[in-house]
Amino acid sequence: MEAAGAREETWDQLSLSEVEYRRAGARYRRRRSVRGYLFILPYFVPFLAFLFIPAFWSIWLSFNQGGILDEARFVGFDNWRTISEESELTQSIRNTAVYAVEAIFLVFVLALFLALLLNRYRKGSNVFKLALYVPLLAPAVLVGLIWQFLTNFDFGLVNLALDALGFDRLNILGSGTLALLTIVLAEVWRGLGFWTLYFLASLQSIPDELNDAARVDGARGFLRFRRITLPLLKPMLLFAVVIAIIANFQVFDTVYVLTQGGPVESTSTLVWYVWKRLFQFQETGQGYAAAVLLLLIVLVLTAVSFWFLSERRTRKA
Amino acid sequence: MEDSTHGSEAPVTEGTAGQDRRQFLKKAAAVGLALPTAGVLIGSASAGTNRMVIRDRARSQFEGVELSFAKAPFGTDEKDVIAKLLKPFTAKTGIKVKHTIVPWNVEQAAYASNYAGPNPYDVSYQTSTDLTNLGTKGVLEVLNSPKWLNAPAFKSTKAKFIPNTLKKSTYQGKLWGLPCIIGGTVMYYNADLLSKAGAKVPTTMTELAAACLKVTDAPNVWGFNTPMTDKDFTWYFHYCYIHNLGADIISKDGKKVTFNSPGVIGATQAAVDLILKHKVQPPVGQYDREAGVALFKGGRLAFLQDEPLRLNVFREEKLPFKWNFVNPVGLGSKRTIFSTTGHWVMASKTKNPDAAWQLVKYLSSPAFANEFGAHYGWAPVRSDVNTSKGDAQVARINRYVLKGWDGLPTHPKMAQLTSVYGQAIEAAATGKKTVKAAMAKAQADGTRILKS
Repeated sequence: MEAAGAREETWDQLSLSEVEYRRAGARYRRRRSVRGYLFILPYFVPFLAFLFIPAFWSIWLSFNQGGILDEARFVGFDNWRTISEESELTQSIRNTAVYAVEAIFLVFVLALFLALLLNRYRKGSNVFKLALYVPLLAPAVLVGLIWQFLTNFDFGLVNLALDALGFDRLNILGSGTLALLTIVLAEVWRGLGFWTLYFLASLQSIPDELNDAARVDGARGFLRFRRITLPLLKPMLLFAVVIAIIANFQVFDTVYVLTQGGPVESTSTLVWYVWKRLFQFQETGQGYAAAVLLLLIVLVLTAVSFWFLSERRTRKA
Repeated sequence: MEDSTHGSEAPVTEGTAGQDRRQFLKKAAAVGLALPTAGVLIGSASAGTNRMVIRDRARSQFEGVELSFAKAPFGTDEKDVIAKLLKPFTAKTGIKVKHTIVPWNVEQAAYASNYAGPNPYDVSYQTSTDLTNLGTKGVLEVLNSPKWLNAPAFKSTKAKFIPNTLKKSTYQGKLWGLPCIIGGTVMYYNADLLSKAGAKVPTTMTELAAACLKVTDAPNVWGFNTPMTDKDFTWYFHYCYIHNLGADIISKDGKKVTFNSPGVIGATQAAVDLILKHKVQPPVGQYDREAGVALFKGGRLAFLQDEPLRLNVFREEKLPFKWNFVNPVGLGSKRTIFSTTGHWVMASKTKNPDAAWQLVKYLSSPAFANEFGAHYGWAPVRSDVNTSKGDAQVARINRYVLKGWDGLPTHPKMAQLTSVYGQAIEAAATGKKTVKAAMAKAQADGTRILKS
């Protein structure tokens, strides 16, 4: 009894009133939150400084004239009206869309195919992985130069091959369609290694048992790929599509080195359009308006991709 | 000087009156000669001291000052060339110059970000396409003020500038840069190819087409080449054609674009015909500017229109054929070579405006410009600058330029307008549009740009 009484006394001493309990809880949560915030601070500060604030500043500047070299002057929708009247903008959006569709489709098909091969034949695959990844490490200027040499009229490999096969040589960078295709191929060549390794990692996360079971049930290669591999790859594919859209809508360096938007705007992309307005012409308001437009396009496309490849939609279907 | 003084002070104690008189006259003559001599010597000594004082004052005024200087280069050796030419300037003024090379392909981006910051380049080089754009944004110092260009001390130097260079670089009464270089083009020709084909050096566009047709009978030889893409600033190389016809891309008051004027359409049509009609010039995109120059060097091109800065390169490389150059031909008899102007500018935010002005003055002076212009084959903008160094070919360009320069006027929207012009040339030369349609689009685009 005595012992129990002592225990009760101790318990009473330890127990808190409702107010004290709330205060202690708040103190504890505050301490825990502060620690959490401290952990994310190294990311959050640069995020605010270099992404969040500039993004909002860009939106604000798209409604102003000047703002970098001189004082910003509010002009309402003037910049938006001006760029909307320019045929170069429409052409740039069209080129970017064509480029993105071609590049993403081509790189994904090739990368998935190579990843399946590397997943199946693992012996000596490291050499191929390295060879595939090297172009990604090459600076854009070097990539541009390589492709300039490849497409040169007199001594480019493509034209030498055509010549040897008895075909006429092609003025590759002088033709709008071929010039855009060259940029697509250059970017596919650059990105192939990254996407192959990405898909390979995704493939290796699929349990072997599923394929083994399907094999026992008599499912052949393509059927297994369609019914097992592809559905299980879907979440990774969704992420890949979103990332690829964001990256490909920002294509710039290859355009800059190879064609600078020519011939006759046929390789002018959205970021090239923005760059020209911002730096070549110092029309900052118009440049920012086009940049915000690019942001909106990417946001919409990302949302559409999420919807298109989302689980809920798949289940409904 | 010392002897004469002592002599005049020596006491007369001995001898006859005659001797005394003679001695007195001798001494008087000696004193008479000695005093002016002493005066001259003292005067010159004190003048020397004054010069040293002034020089020391200039040195002490700027001692320890370091100016940042930026320029897109005319050649890979430009940093060394400028460093050598700036040595006397630093020795004289004590101003150190930190030179930054700004590559041409990122020039506007580099300057925009630099001028947006708190420490912009004190002095830099700007072409007439960007000069007024930057000037109207307030990042450049207005130079035609009583403090700088219109200062009484600079009056005689100002009079040496080709008046039109100052006039065409001025926008709404403000001049943001001191003209220093004439940008223009010449037409180089391969004399061996011409004589082999029995063609002569043309004087008109029609003669050029005829000569090219003769030359292109040989395999793998092109008649003519000049940059044809907006990427290679095609407008820069075509500007003289429209000027030859008395036309321009903008009205004199700078309020209207004139892309659809008969002069611009006629000149562009003649240029486009060389590619699409006569087929004596490579199609657009087949050879970029440098590849075109390589064709000429390789003896596969009869006529190359490019800047005079290729002169020294061709000489140094000792091309394996006879070559020379003439003014680019026109549709009529007028054959101008002019395009843009280069300027030395001062940042309005410079912390050392007086030192920056000293540098701008020096860069513009014969002490710098003679050698610099000669090295890169540029023509001068001042009558006292001679970039020929006795070279007859360069002297020809200089004489022509000094007779009366008439190039691209400056305007805040000029970079955009020239790009529109370049794209129109490109569209017409690829056959995507007729010249008329391309220029009509340029007119509409240019009008919108001027309004925006």
